[in-house]
Amino acid sequence: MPETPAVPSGRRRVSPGAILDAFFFVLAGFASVWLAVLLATESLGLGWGLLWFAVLFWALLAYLVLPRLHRILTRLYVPDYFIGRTRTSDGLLGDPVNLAVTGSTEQVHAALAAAGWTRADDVTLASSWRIVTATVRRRSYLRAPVSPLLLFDRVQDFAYQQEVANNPAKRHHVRFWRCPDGWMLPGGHRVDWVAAGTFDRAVGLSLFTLQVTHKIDEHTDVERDHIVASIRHAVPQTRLVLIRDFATGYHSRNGGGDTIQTDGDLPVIDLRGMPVAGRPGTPPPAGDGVTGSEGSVVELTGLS
Amino acid sequence: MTGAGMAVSEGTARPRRPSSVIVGCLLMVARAVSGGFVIITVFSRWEEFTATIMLDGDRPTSQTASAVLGWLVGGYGLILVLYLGLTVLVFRGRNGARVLALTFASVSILVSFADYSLNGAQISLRTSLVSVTIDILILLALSSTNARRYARAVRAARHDRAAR
Repeated sequence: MPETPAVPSGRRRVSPGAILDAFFFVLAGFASVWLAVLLATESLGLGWGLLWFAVLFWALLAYLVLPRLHRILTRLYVPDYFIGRTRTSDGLLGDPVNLAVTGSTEQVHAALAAAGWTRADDVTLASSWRIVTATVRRRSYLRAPVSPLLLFDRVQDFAYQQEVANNPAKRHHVRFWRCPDGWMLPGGHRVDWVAAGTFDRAVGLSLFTLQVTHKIDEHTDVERDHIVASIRHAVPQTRLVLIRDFATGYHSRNGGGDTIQTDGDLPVIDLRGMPVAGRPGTPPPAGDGVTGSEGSVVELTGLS
Repeated sequence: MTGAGMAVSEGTARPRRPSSVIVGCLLMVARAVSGGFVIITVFSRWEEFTATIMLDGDRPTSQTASAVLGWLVGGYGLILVLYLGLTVLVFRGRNGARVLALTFASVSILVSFADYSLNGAQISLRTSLVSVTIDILILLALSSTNARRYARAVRAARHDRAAR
């Protein structure tokens, strides 16, 4: 019987600075609700100004009040450890983690570029403005930024996308997070990256925050399989380990309130055999039981 | 996993300033500028304002009234300058300055709220709605996780540099 690690000792030590920060954070939440009430009261006395105030009121509600309330509440009840779901910047459960990759950073970038994916710009004021104008005018924006989603308590390291029909409202997109050193997937599989791929089908309002956002297609497995197929097609050295029933299949909602469903399988794309920049790929060490030869697919199923 | 912040792991490089800090500082500047307008208004109608000054229930001579008003306006101006200095420190990622700015905003909001809920004070565009709004937005911006992490990361980077 292996030795069980010591139980984490007692409660976390909380510094006075953190308590003060939490106080301001919550006070700001209440204050913003009061501000919404004040604005609503004020708007009742305005004739045609009402319209202008309604927009202001929506902006306040969608971008300040509701996100702050979600942040306060989700911090209390949404788990912060890995449950196969990303989280939005407001703390809500976001897109499902439906892919994993083994390989170096260069290999991941090279494989995605070869498979016809375009790296998304980082979210800045300029890129945000450009995606708004591109969407309104229906102009193409191949490197449009994707919204931040969090995993391991941090924003994605990078994201890739494929625009559909020159319309920035519709796109394939996938976000990648580098796993912390020594971190393993539930079940003890070691991978270098985990990723969340979904298909943006339109622009709409988030159900939870009323913010303008992309609505995603419900069938996240289709997008997952599209990403895997595109990489396997472009990089013949790809090995694939398909972990069947990594999660139970489920129906749920993402952070924008869009329904999602998945069968719970998790493909692990092994790019270690891929040569990059003149260097030959390093085949995975023999004897880890689940590697197989180049281009192969190994399925891992449960015990029963 | 704690919210140690990604910026810390970047080592001694100066962390990137999040938009919440920039917006928060712009709002602080707006707050100071609106105070500046009050001073300009007082200067432009000096006679009217000196006429309203009462000392111990009596109306002082115009010279005394001018002196009193001068001190009041001067004191207010000094506070505004100090507040702008605080804004610079917040912008540069000083955590103490951020906490102080948050405290000012909180006190101002709580006083307004007490006035509103206990005395039934009207808070509208004609009275204090704009300043209350700015205070609440400052509180929201500077209390955000990004602003907090930025201040912590700047401090960590500073300690790092000092240690080397």
